[in-house]
Amino acid sequence: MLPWQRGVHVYDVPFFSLPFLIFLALTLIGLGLSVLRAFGGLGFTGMSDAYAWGIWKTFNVMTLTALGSGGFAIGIAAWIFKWERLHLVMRTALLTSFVFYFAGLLALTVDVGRPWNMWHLLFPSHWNPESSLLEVAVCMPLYAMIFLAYENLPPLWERLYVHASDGIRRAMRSVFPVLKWLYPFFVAGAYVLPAMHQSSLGALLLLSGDKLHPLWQSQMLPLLYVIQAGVAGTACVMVTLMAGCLVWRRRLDLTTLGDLGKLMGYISLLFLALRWGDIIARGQLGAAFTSDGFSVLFHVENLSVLVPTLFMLQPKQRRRPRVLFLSAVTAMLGAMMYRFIPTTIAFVPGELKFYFPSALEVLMSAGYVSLTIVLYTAAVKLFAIVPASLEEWYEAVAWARENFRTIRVDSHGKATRD
Amino acid sequence: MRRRDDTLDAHLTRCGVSRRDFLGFCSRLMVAAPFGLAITNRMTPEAVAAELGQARRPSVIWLHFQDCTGCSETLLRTSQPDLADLIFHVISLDYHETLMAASGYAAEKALHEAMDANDGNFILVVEGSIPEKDEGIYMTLAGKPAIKVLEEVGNRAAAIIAIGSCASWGGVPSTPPNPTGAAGVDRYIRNKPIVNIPGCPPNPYVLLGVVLEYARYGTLPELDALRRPRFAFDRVIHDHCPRRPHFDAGRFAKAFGDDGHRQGWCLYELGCKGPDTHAACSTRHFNEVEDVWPIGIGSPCVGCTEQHIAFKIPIFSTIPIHGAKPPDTYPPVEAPAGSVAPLATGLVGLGVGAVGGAAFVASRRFSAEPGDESVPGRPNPEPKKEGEA
Repeated sequence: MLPWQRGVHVYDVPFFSLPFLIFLALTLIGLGLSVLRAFGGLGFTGMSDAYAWGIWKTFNVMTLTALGSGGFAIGIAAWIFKWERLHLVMRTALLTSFVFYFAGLLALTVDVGRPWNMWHLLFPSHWNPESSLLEVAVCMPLYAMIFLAYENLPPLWERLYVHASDGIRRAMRSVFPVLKWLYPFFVAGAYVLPAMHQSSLGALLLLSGDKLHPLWQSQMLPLLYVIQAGVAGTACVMVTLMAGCLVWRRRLDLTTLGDLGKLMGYISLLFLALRWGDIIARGQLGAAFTSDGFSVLFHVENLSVLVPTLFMLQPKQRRRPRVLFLSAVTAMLGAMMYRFIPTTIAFVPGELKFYFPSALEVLMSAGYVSLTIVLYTAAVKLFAIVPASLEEWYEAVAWARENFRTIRVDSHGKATRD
Repeated sequence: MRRRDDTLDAHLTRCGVSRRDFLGFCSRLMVAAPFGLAITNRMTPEAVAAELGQARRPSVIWLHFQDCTGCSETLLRTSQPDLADLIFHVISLDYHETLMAASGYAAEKALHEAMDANDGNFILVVEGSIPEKDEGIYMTLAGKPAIKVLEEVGNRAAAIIAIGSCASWGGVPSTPPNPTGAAGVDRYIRNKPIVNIPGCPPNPYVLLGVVLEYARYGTLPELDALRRPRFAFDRVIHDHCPRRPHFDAGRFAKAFGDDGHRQGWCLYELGCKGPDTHAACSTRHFNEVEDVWPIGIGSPCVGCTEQHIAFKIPIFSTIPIHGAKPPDTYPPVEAPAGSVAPLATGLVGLGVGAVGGAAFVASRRFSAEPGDESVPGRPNPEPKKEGEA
């Protein structure tokens, strides 16, 4: 049996499974509450003039788009550093990136003060070049809706081709060279833009000055945010892949997963070195070893990146599925903490100011998280995304031939005459 | 001894005004009229000074009709340049009824001398409205009705600047029922270029900009339909109002002295005419003192630069707003200080617990050694060499 060789759609499970329906219900609750916010205002949230950023921004946008940076980090490793094996998981990485960005942007639309002005983003004449939020506001939708969407085109294209009539296929074949020629430019853009807006997220915190605790406030924030997005994205792709294997009873490919672990370990090592170097250079080492809650948070956050790194740098540990999985989960949570703590917990705009999300806010946030799960599971059931061996691909094709009479291609995608 | 064809440069040198002072004046002029005027449309104060230095000092004759002298007052209160600098160095104010020492016959003689000296070349500044009812008997100067004086002087001027709302279109004296039949300059004089600088009072820098522009190039700045120079009257006060964020957020003072008024909220509901009033007050304050303008001191704008608003619509009546306004469904942003809600805490705990539990359970199922086929997420055996499969 060979390890993973190509994407195979999840074919032998019902589309509307029970967990899917549960997450769908949560999603609908979240979207329903968004309507409430549109007409009732932000009154039901825990936000105030001091804490203008609730969890929709700090968790759903800032934290979850870091998890959605898998396509960015793995893409750079695979295309630029020629880590060829990582192309196997590229479709998963791109899809997770897309769903996280999509849900994050939706949360942002609900969260901004004047959502009815969102169309201004489409026209540079309506931009406010003085705004510190301009870069993030323009760059994120541009990346997700154009560059990331373009990168996610191949599975959709394949599926369309398989089911299309001859005329449409001919049209698709004539368009294909153009799409292929454009692809490298979009790929390049898809690495420039996240580097820009992920660092801008860090720069936004930099602007908050001494409202932010000195353990997190640093002029290195923009760079740290980009590198840490790589940790979070890679870890998230590992968790997604392994959880998918568990749920849909796929086989694991420890070589590829080990490579991902190695990539994550290297990026984390760079991240930790810069983070601690920065703390020392700024002379804040003392603040890290006081007995207050912030230093505890700091150490919890750092250890949950450091421990997985130590494991992932040992080739022997990288071959143990449980270690791989737990390391990925821990590193992912650690990276999420690095995003969430400085925006919410270590962000103190004044004495006696306090923010805790209301129940409805939490429900809405959970709704957007569920949306990512719903979109992801729906997509892997429809398109060939989750990696598997060629053997499983042949089985999937045989299964599809029995169930879909419209398919008229062989397992290599070539048209058959019937 | 005044030499008539002196340029400004020569005059200033002769009077011992330092170049530094002149550059300072030019910078302030650039700030007051940043665009729309040919003289200030330069990169540096030096460039403006070079242009302005070539100008001949304009001769200005200033007539008062039915007015409160407020427009002259605002000129008197300008400290940069101060009045003495202004009337002696920058312009040549040859006749001004309330500033001159002369009276009676001497004053009348001064007017005619000034007109004869610059016949057809002087700038006439008119302050106050002109009554026309009953053959203009409601105001006479040297025994002549005001209309006659205006016609006599105005027809010999090069251009006429109507300063203040009264001279522009009647102002306070023309408030219905308008007992004297008061009207602005452009009702009586048709064959001369007229610039209206409405306001009650207007900003003196606007006057200065127009006069200097005319002195240097012989042209008047671009005017709008009401003959107001566009460079100062192209935007409504509302666009740049420092209280605009309160308007957008729906925070309005409801009565003078209430909480909102004390906190500097929007004055729209107290009758502020800012949304419909074209003037630069919100960006160029008076007397070179910060916040010296009506809205800055907590009084609603009365719309003095608009013919259809000031003295026509009551001061405390609101006007319809044509541009963006806060929607009725505008979400309130105020929220009480946060507290830990039990339900929310439970939900967060539930979420965190679910993630943690799921991760642990999942990891247990990964615990099998390579080759163990009994668990669902079973790992593949070691990869074999290519081609062996």
